Parts: sequence; structure tokens; C-alpha cells
Amino acid sequence: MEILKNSVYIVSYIMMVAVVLVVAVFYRQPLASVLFVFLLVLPFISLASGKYGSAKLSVIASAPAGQVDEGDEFRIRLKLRNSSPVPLLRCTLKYTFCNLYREDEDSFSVTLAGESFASEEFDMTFKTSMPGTFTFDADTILISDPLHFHTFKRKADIHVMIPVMPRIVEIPDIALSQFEGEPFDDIVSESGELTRDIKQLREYRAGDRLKDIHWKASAVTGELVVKEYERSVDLMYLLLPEIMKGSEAEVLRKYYSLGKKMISSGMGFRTAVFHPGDKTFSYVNVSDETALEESVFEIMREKASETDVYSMYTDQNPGSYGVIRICAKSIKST
Amino acid sequence: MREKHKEHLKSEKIRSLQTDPHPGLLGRRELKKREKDLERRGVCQGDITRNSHQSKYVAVLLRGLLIFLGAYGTIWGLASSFDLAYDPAKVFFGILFLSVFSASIYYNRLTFYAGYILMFISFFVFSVMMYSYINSGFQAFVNELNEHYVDYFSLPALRVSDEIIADRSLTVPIACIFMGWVYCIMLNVTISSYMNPALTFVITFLPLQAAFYIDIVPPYLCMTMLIMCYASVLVLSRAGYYALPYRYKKYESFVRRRRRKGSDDSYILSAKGMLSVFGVSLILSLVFFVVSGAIFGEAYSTKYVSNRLKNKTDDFVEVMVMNGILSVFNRYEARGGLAHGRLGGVGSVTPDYETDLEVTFVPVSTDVVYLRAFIGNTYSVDRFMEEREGEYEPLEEPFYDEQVYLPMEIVNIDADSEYYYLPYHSVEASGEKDGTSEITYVPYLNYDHVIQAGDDMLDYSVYAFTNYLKVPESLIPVLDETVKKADMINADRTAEGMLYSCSQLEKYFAENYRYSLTPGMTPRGRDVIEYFLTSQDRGYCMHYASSATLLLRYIGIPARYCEGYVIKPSDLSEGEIVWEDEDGAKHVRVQISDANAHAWVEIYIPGYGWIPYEMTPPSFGEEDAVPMNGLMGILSGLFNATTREDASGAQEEGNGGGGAAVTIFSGIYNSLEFLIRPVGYSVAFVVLVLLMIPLIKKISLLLRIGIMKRKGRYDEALLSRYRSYTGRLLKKKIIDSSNADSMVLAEEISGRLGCTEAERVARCVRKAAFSDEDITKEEYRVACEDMTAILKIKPVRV
Repeated sequence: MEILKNSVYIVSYIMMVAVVLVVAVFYRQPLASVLFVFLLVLPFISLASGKYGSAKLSVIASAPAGQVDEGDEFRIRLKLRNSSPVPLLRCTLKYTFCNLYREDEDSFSVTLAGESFASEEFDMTFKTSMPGTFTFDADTILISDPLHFHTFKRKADIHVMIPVMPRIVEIPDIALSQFEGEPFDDIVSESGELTRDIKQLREYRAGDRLKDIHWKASAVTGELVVKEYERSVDLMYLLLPEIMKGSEAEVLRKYYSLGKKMISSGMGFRTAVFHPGDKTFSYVNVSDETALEESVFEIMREKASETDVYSMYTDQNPGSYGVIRICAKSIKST
Repeated sequence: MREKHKEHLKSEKIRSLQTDPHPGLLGRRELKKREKDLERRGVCQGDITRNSHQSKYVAVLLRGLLIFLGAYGTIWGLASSFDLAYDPAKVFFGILFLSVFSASIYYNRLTFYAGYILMFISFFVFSVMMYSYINSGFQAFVNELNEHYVDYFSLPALRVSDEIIADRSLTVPIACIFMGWVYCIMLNVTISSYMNPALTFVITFLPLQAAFYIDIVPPYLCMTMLIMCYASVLVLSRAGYYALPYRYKKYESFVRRRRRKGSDDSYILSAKGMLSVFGVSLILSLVFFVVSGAIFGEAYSTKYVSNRLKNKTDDFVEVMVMNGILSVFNRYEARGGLAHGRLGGVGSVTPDYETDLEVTFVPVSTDVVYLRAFIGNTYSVDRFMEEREGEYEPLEEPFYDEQVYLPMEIVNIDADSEYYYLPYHSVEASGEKDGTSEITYVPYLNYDHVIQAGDDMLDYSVYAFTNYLKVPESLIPVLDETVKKADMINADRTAEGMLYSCSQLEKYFAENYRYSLTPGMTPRGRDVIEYFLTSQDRGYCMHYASSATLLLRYIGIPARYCEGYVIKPSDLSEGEIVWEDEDGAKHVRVQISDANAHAWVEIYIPGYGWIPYEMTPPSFGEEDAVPMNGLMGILSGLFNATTREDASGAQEEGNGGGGAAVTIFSGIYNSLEFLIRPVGYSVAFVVLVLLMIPLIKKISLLLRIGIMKRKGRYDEALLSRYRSYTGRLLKKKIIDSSNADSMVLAEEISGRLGCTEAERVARCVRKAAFSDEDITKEEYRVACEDMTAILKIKPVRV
């Protein structure tokens, strides 16, 4: 497509040069011949400067600071920097964006001006209508030389993921059943700041939080040592958000709202996150608001399932009871 | 602190304005699309905004400057080329103001509509109030233009227009400002509205052809302005930054083009970008004009080379200069063939070279064979009236001492079917006029072979002397003057005497007139023959034959105007022998095209009858030339290099005005020879610059390091040297990447080259880069020496 576009410009330019050549041949005058030479050399200058300039061009994107809630408008900031004197006025960034639950094949482009020795910022505004993970990917940036004879393709490598938090909905008071099944200790906790009482010190494992590192002990031993805290809240509930195709938003809203309600009541819980790719479950301990948000991020990172999540769970955990199922229509304890 | 706070507030304000969703400003279609996106995808894209403020004023001013470059460049170029003295400051600032004003019309919708109304009203008022000044200034320009063209073409007369106000210091600047205003209006459309390089080029470059055509080069600075304008418009048009503020509701924004699956946003304005394009265009145009124009300009302006196409167009331009611009429009081309005695209304003749007649006959000499069709007698208002039947007795009875009858077969393919095309002394004609006709004739050799006719001829002599001596009263003064000039009055009424007069006229025509198929049209109200004899001094057979008819009649020689076709010896050489009769006579078939159509004069010599006489000077093959019809014809004319001297000298030498015969390749080479030097030098210049780049880089590096060393910044100096060092190692393929850690690189270098200095260099570089302690001069020196030593080592071959 780019070649086609460029060829239109090339052909029109050749026609222009041909006209000037005819004028030059007709008049046999220095000025016309100078003009002809000028036009003859110009494409080479354009191509060389385009190549040079494109190597000096960079584009980065930054996500908005702070939380993005469902229904909010947020901005992704693009920073285009041209450190060359060549004005690259046609830099086209090819990108895609979507909510992971609503992936499609639409493609977008934005043409920006890479002005000489300038760094410009552009804000791209997006509006959301449902929770989920918003992704913005820009793989390539096409940079045209000033005369549009050639389009230089450069990697942009921009990948932005923004979690869009669900809104709070009203949850009716329901009796929550306690979980009975495999002991929780078997389940690896990824984020469990439970109390401030240190249970033990142990060696650093991948996934441990930086703030849990015991710096003094690490300095003494020469290896990273982390603090493991005692649990203060009994995690007696297991929430199973059933993220099914078409009902993702409603399930997320219910999960988030219920989670908030439980935490405000001092009830910690665990969340079973289904991974449709390998059809497995992972578990997240939730005992405060931060952990709740992290659990939401964890859920939203996965796509919606096309098969029944609860039946998958029961298949994999046959002796489990008291799972709190969160579906689009209702929340029910089993 | 307060300033920072203010700045922050200002940027916040701008940002809030820019990021405002502007729901009222979005089109319904776009809103619907967004709603649909939200529903379908859970997310939709809103506006794209730029965080830094783009000044509308700067954008308008830059467009105004572009318009100014085009408008002032053209006006200045024209005025300077034709030596029109004017006050440059008035015109400069006048056009500058008008350019910026025109561009500012596009500031927003209100200024667009109000501005155009204001502009046209003020333009109208200015035109009415300053009419006399503008008119006089324009006439002054036309007079200067005429003078230059008259000098160029060495024309005898100069047409001078009346300047109502004679003071050019007043009229010329006002006319220049008026023209500049017109240009501002036009360029405002091509630049502010469409940023169209082709239209901008046409509007500004075409008028300058008036100067280029007669070898006048406008000032280089003016051409630099124009080139800068073209280059800027070209680049900006391709960048797409020419959106009109009034077209888009949200200025300084992006234009969104929706596709079925996605959308494309384009930034519509970049004032900084426009400014940088200006700068680059200025540098480029200056460099090229300094390098190419100044160095090669003088050499080439002294060497004038023309081409056949230009020589051809010169004829038209010359006519236009002589007779005014209307003469160009008041003309049509004749396609050859018979004109039926009509002389006026023909500006040029362009034969189509298609066969009109196919003639089969026995050539008995190398003389021209005339095939007469039309005979004109009475001349009235640019036309010879045809002889009416019964008014004369055609003298077709053979009256030779040795009668030889020959057959001739003529096939009328595309000639006028009203006539038989008869050779002189035809005895019999039969067959179809629009088909094949058979003619029996006695070949006419020349008048010496004609024997004295019998008594019956005497009656016709009386008739001829009564009917073929009439000339219009109105033309007598011109005829009288020409006859005297040609010195053709001769009291001797014998055949020799008459022929002497004819030869005098023939000589006069040859010396004072030239053959041209594009003589231009006779101005309205003037007689064709009168205009030809007094002013035109060029023409084709029709002009010569008609004038000769009246001139000969005026001195008492009966004469008639004839039209028909001629078979020239050159046609015979191209003919084919179709058969040979029993007497050994070869019957040749020739193709006669409309280029063979001809007009000639017949004179009546008592006792000899009507004799054709050729008054048309040699055409030097003009009618045989390759026609410049169609693209290929024009191109061949364009690439046939010649000079003006060639064109005029050719008539004397008879080489056809096209220079020596050339092959197509040598023709193209000759035509493009003038380009070889500037192209060669320019390419050499570019190559030189490319070769110089490493040297320039090296020099700039050394300079930078020198400055750092002088300031005692050895850390920075060493790091600069180190970058260059790793770059060179990378080129030599000693290292795989120049971005790796210095110690890692050192190991790699040591491994490849087997040296220890690399580690020392790396340690020093680390210290220069990361340590709080600066490196000393001595350390810098040692590290530099090590790097130099490493670069000299050849890689160990494994």
C-alpha cells in the first residue's frame, strides 16, 4: 500500500521533471537547466535525509497515572522526538487498541509531525464502557522522506496495558458459605501481606515483593532474604468469578463490589482465577483493597472462557464445597 | 516561582481546552461511530491533541510568506526582465501586505467570508480609482515587452501603445501592485486552500516565459524566491499540512478519516514544520543557484542554441508581435489542397501529407509538371473569382511543331472532385473527376518550343488583353510602388520583354520576401495582397502567385491566378515504374499529396498562349519537412538542435533550416549537450559532499575534543574518543556491537587482537563515565595512545 502511495508521488514527480526537461531543452537556458538539475538531485537529497532522519526518530508512549475506572476517559501520551534537522512531517504510527474481552482486527494509524530538533507530545484520548484490560500496541512507525519517494519502516515496540476497573454495583445481602476443601497452605500465595507479625525469614523467591526484603539480613548474609508474615485473617471464603464470553463486565462488577463489601466487613477471601489457555486455576489471597485490585488485574489479564468455569473447577477439585460462584446473573454459594 | 506557576496554569488551560471532548463540535456521524465502538468494543477512541501550542498566527504568516514569494518573485522577475523601473520598496511592501492579508482570510470561518468580501470590494474600488494608472502601467509594460521582442526578432516596426499617464514612476508601481494583488488572490487559492505545487508553478512560471522566450533570464534572487516557494509547497503538499482553519471546526487538531475497519488520523498543521521546510527550501535553492547558476550561468547565456520547434514557434510569436495578440486567435490552419481562389483568413498551412492524387504518366523532362484545376480571373476582396464557362476559349489545341501525344492517368483519391487536374496543353480528358480520369496531352517543355499560332489566335489575344489586365483601384498605389521597387517596367512587349519583367519580379520576391507556411493572418480590414506586399514580407505560393498576377497585370502583361498540383522531380524519384510500352517509354506512377498543392501565375504571351511562371521563392523543403503534428513530431522538432543563425542562414544555403541531417541519437545528444556540464558538475558536487562526510565528521570530532580538552573536561573528551574508537572497531568487525559494556568489549577486543591495552582503556573509560573522580590529562593521553595502538593492530586470523 505504501509502495503504491509512493509510486503515485514518484510518477507525478517524474512528470514534473519531464516538463522541466522539455522547458530546458526548448529554451537551452542556464536557469531552466539549473532547475532541471535541481529537480534531478532533489530526490536523492530527500531520500538521504529521510533515511538519516528516520534513524534519529524515536517514539515512546506512556500510560496515564492513577486508576482508570469503567466509563472514564483516559489518555495515552505519545512522545515523538526527532533529533535530526530534517523535518519529517509524515510519521505514521500504526497501532491497534482493544479491550482484551473484545479483541478485533481493526487497525488504526495516526500521522504526526516529526519537526526538526523537536520533541512533541500528543495525547490520544480513549473512552471506556466496560471493565477489562485495555491494550494499546504499536509495532511500526512509517516515516516518509520529504518528497514521499520512500517510506522507511521502523520498529516502534510500544505495548501499553491499562486495567480498567469495574464500577461498584449494589450487592444484596446473602449468606456466604465457608470453603471446605484442600488446605490453603498448599496454595501458593503471591501477595499475602496478612499481618505485621513476622512469621519467619526465608530466602528470596521469584514473585516476592520488594518491600518484603529484609535489607539488613540480606546485607549480612550476602543473599536476598525476605520477611514472611503471620496471617491475621482467616481466609475462609473462596470466590470464583465465572468470566464467560458476553458476561465479563457484569461478573467483574459483581466480584469487585462483593470483594469491597467483604473487606470492609473484615472478611478476607481467596479468589480462584481461571486461565482459559491451559484450563487451570490460580489463587489470589485478598485481605485488603490493594490485594482486591491486584486480584481484579489478575482476572482481567485472562480472556473470557467459552466453557463453563464452575464445571471445570469441580472437575479439578472434586472434594471442594462452599465455593462462592459469581455469575452474570447472581452470586451463589455452593 | 510565580512565573512557573503561571506557565503551569497556562499549559493547564490550553490542555483543558484541547482535551475537552467538544461534544457539540463533533459531527453526528462521528458521534454515532464512537457510540457504536463503545458498545461493540468496550472502548472508543476520542480526540488526539497536541500538547504544545501551535500558533495560528504563525501558520497564517507562513502561508502569507509563501504567497509573497510566488507573487513578488513573478512580478519582480517580469519587471526586471523588461527593464521596467519602479520603486521596489513600494511594490515589495505592497505585495507583502496583500499576501499576508490574503492568507489571514483563512484564519477562521468569519474571516474567510468577511475577508473575501472585503478583499473583492477593495480590489474593485482600487481598480476603478486607479484605472488610468493601472492601464498606463500595463501599457508601459507592453511597450517595453514589444521593444524587447522587436529587438530580438530584428523587426522593422515597433507597435507603441498609448500611455495615458506618462510618468512611469507612478504608473508602474501601481500596476505592479495591482498585478501582485491578482496574484495574491490566485496563489491564496493554490497555496492556502489546496497547497498545489503544479498550479502554483503554472501560475507563477508561465508569465516568465515572456522573458525566457527571448533569452532574458530574470534576476537570480527572484528565481531563488520562486524555487523556494515551489520546493516548500511541494514538500508541504506531500506532508498534508495545508488544512484550512475555516474548514475544520477544531483548529490545530487532527483530521480523522474513518475506514470500515479502523481509522486514520492525520495531523493537519505544523507551524514549526512549515518553518523548518522553509529553512530547508531556502538553503537548497540558494545552494543550487549559487553553485549552478552563478558558475554556469554566464557561460550558457552566451551560447544560444535553439531547436526547430522553437524556430517554428518564433514565426507565430513574430506575427503576434507585429500584429498584436488578436492575430494569434484570429487565424486558422489550412490543411493543404485547393483554396478556390480564397486568399484571406489563412494564418498557416499544415499539410497532412496524405495522398490526394495518384498520377501515372511518362516523364519527358525533369521540369515541374503543373496540373491545373482552378483558374482565377477577377480579383475582389481577398479572392480571385473563377473563370466562368463561356467567358474564354481554353487554348488546348496543340500548336507544336512536333506533336507528341502522351497519355496521363489520374486517380483522384482525396483531391477536390470539382475539377479535372489537367497538365498544360491537354487535348482530351475523359473519365470521372472524383475517380480515374484519362488525359491526353502534349507535354509542355518551355515557351521556346511553342510555335507561332495561326490567325485564330489573334482573336484570343484581344480577348486576353481585354480581360486579364484588370486590377482593383484600391490597390494601384501599392502595385505602383512595388513595380517600381522591383524595376519590372519594360516597354518591350515581345515575349522576351514580358519574361524579363517576370524575372525581375521573381528576383525581387526572392530577395525581399521569404517562404513560410506560417505567415500569420492578414489583419482585419487590410487586403491580403496589399498586406503581403507592404508588411508581411513572408508567405507561401498563394501570396506570391496572387500578388504577381496583379503586379503583372498592372504593367500590362495578361496574367491569371492558377491553383492545382505540381509534380516535382523529387516526386518522380519516389515514384514507381508501372509499365514500359513498346516504344520504350516508361510509365511512372507517383503519389501526389496535399503538400504538392500549389498556386502559380500564368502569363499570356501573344503567339505563345498561357504560360505558367513560378514566382514563389524556394521553400527550402519547408513543406517537405517532417510535420510537427502529434507528440512525436513535436519531440523531433524539439530535439533537432539548431541555431537562429542556422534558421536564417538556411534560406541562403538552401539546407532546409534544420541544420545538417542528424541521426536521432546524435540529435538527442546535441540537444542535451548543454545539460551535460551542469548535471556532471552537480553530480560531482554531490559525490564530493558524500566523500567529505567522513572527513567532516572527523574534523568536527577533533574540534569537539579540542574544545573539551581546553576546558579541562577530559572525561567527556575521552568518551567522545571512545565512541569513535568502538565505531571503527565495529566497522573492522573486531567487535559485534559498540553498545556493550566497556569491560565486555575489552575482553572481546583482547581475544580478537591479542592485546592488553584494551582492558586499560576500558578501565579508564569506566572511570570517566561512572566515577566521581575525573580522569587526569595523563590518563587521557595514555588511553588515547592505547586506542590508537589497538586500531593499528591487525586482527589475528584463526
